[in-house]
Amino acid sequence: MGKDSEKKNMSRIVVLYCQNSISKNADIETITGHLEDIIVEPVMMVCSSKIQVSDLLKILDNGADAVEVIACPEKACGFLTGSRKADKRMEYAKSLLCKIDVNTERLSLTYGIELSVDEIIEIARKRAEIISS
Amino acid sequence: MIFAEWKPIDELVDKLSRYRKVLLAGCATCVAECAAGGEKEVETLAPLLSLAMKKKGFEIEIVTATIEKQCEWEFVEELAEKAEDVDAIMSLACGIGVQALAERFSEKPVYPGVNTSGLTIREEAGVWLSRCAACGDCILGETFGFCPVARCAKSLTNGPCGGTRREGKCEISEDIDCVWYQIVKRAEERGQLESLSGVRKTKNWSNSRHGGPKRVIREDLRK
Repeated sequence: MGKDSEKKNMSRIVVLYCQNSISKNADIETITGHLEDIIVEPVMMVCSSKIQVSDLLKILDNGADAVEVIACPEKACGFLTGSRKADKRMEYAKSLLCKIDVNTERLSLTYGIELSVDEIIEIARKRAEIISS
Repeated sequence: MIFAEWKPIDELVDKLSRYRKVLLAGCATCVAECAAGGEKEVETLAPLLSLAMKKKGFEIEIVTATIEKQCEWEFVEELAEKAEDVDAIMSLACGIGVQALAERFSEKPVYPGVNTSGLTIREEAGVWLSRCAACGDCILGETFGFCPVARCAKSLTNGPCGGTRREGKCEISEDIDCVWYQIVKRAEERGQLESLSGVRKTKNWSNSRHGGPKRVIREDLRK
């Protein structure tokens, strides 16, 4: 099976991460080079509160298998209420998926701080496993 | 504001499934205020409908546009270019906007994406309360600023009825304030309780929707 065909069968996970949730030493750009089994597309946000419900749904509609949002723990949010906003929007987006009978596990929010590249990959891999099961 | 809410998604999918390309049109005024049909809601509903359609095996392209007001022809005209290219239009505006689009783009089927249900005030983020029934015979000056037509379950203009609960709640639900209780309370606060003792004359409903479709002309404003 050629590499393109193999990639077609891999889960594509878009990771929207708050810039403050990852380690300063984490070289996110290297992520896609690491992986044989899933496609991870990292996208940095200034704060997780920047996610909009429409963004989450558009990403899924454009072919992503799942969207994983990585936010700072609520008490550690540099913008005070950013994580809480992200959480509420995520819940609403999931409720919309529920209305159309689409697997709500395709959207997820994980709290993390000082995450390494390996930890982010693990989060994405876990999400891929959940949606495949 | 005019208040509206999304129709059930299944209903929207059912209406649009026969089309290949649809314009989803929002309005940046009332329906944006009540988070039903502004740009944000249009951009949320479009991918949601697309996902729902794909799940049911339909292919659809949804084009989006939000204009300032769907109740003003000058703004409606802004949709002309996109409207030309689609098989159908779904409007997230109130019934007025839907009809404006249906009239301007009469060759295209136009569907409402929301149910328009009232005139409300936003009490706080995410909470809207019915405040006006557009009865056409406003008595707010006599009822201390509380509208019994919109806020009384029986629309009594000579209230209260005998059903007010002890805590000033309406007999139909303990979650609903009895508006006549509020009217009386405010009259007492102002020392004007006497003003409520007379019997208010029968309401003239002819200026509301009960009087039939309206056409109002102001000659001073016409060109």
